[in-house]
Amino acid sequence: MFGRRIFYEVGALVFDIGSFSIRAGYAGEDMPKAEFPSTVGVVEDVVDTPMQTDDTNSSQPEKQKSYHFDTVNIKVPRKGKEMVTFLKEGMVNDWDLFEKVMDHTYSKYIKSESELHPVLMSEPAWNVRTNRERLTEVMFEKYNIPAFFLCKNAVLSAYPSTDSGGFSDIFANGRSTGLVLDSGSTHTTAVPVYDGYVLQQAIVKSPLAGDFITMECRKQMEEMSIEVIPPYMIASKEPVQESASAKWKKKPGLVEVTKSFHNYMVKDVLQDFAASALQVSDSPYEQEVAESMPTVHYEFPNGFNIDFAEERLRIPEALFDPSVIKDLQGANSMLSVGPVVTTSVGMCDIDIRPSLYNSVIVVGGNTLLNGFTDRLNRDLSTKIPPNMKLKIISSSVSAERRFSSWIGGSILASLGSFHQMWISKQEYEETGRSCVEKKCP
Amino acid sequence: MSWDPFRDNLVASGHVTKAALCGLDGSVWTQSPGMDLKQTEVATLVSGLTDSSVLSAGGIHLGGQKYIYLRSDDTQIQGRKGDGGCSIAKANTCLVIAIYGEGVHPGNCRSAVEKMRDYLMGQNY
Repeated sequence: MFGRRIFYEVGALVFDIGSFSIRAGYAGEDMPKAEFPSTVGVVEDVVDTPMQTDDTNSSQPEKQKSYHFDTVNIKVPRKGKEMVTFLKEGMVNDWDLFEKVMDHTYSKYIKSESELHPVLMSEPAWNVRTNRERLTEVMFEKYNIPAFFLCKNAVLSAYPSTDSGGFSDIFANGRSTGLVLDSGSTHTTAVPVYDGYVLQQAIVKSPLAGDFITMECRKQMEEMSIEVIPPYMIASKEPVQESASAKWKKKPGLVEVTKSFHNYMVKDVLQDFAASALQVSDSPYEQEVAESMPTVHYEFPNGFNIDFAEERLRIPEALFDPSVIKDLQGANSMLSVGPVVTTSVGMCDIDIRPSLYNSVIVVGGNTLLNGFTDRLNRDLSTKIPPNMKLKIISSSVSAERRFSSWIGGSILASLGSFHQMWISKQEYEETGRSCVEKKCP
Repeated sequence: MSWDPFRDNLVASGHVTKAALCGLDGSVWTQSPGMDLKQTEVATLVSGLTDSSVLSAGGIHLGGQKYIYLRSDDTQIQGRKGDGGCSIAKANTCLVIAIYGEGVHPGNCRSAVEKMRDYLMGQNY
């Protein structure tokens, strides 16, 4: 009894791990305490350890790695810093780095002992058993947490989004049905959720997502002979006329950076470009229409500035019609956003298809592209069976769309019924790591 | 021997409302009153363990009730209907089938079912 009361008083932690960023905070709060990139800067330093004659190991210079986290810190140029991530396909792949990230999260943001707080963690809907078991083991063995629950991020996103009449209703029945369309940085996925449970066999994934758009922007810049100079290289710049070559000075004494660092910084600029200049066409792309669209002026960090016209619509069009992608092998086999949804629903039980179409929940950073949901609405309404009603649910608040799975986790972990769901430390000690497969659907 | 005590033991766990044990040939060894499992339903479950497409398209049928198929592998099947659901686990020679109602956490039902399955397998069933 006493142990349980402690859980209630200190509160559970919610960790939502995405391929772009990690969201962490306390259950019951509206927003995560922290959001920081899933990318980590790793520097391998050769450290000359001082001579200590009584320690036999210290006579050799040791290779030591230093880790750099957080938005500001990872963007500082350092010699030999490699930009790496611990995730592959959204699943933890580098366990040492994962532990470093968790250490950082606890010490910098949570600032409390890990053994005091139950943890709810999100996972991709396609996470595999070995991975889930290892994660459970790490959390109980290394962080000594009192209780653990692993929940599919799509299920968490469906919590705050489904039309259930607000928090009190969710509290009462705690379940949800809908098709979660998540377009993040590495994938666009459709995950059907029935009554709070993922229909595993009907998950559909496509690589047409945020990173793909960034790559297309990069191709576009190359085609227009625009050199993208990230801010870390720039000491000063002067205003120039539109389309005139940039006048800027390179920072003196720049350290030699790795390719992965430079690429990350270029990507950062391109992401800003995508967010401010791109526009999803509300109907299938036509060059004439696109050319008559108002142009958008964009200034690059080095001062070069130019108007973008039909590119604004053509680049994101690939999300909805991959046939517009130039020289990309296998483009025809990639599913665009509309078919990702219809294919997934088509694999579900016929009895639940109407309720899935009636609640298509749109989440993920890539869906924040201007016009994304309008186009999705248009594409889907022409494709779904006439006897079904389409309803697209998306938060107009961008933070809610980016943090939807964290917010869902925050709600779930603060429900009174949550303590029946989680794996307690005692249960873990009795049955071992295989318990996660049974307890966490 | 009677299989009823195994069935009753599952229900006594508090995480199972109705339970049954069935042979892999479809024969019903024991079932809770009112469960009304049919041999064809059990046979479909057995084939669904190797090929889940029939379950994902048509659902899981137990005693004429339809459950929405959630997921499975070659040893287990999970389904959901309204506030309750079903959990099925395969031993060497039989299936352990359980139905749970409102208020039961599906993970707890599945744990009870698989504990029984592990026991039966230990007894060479």
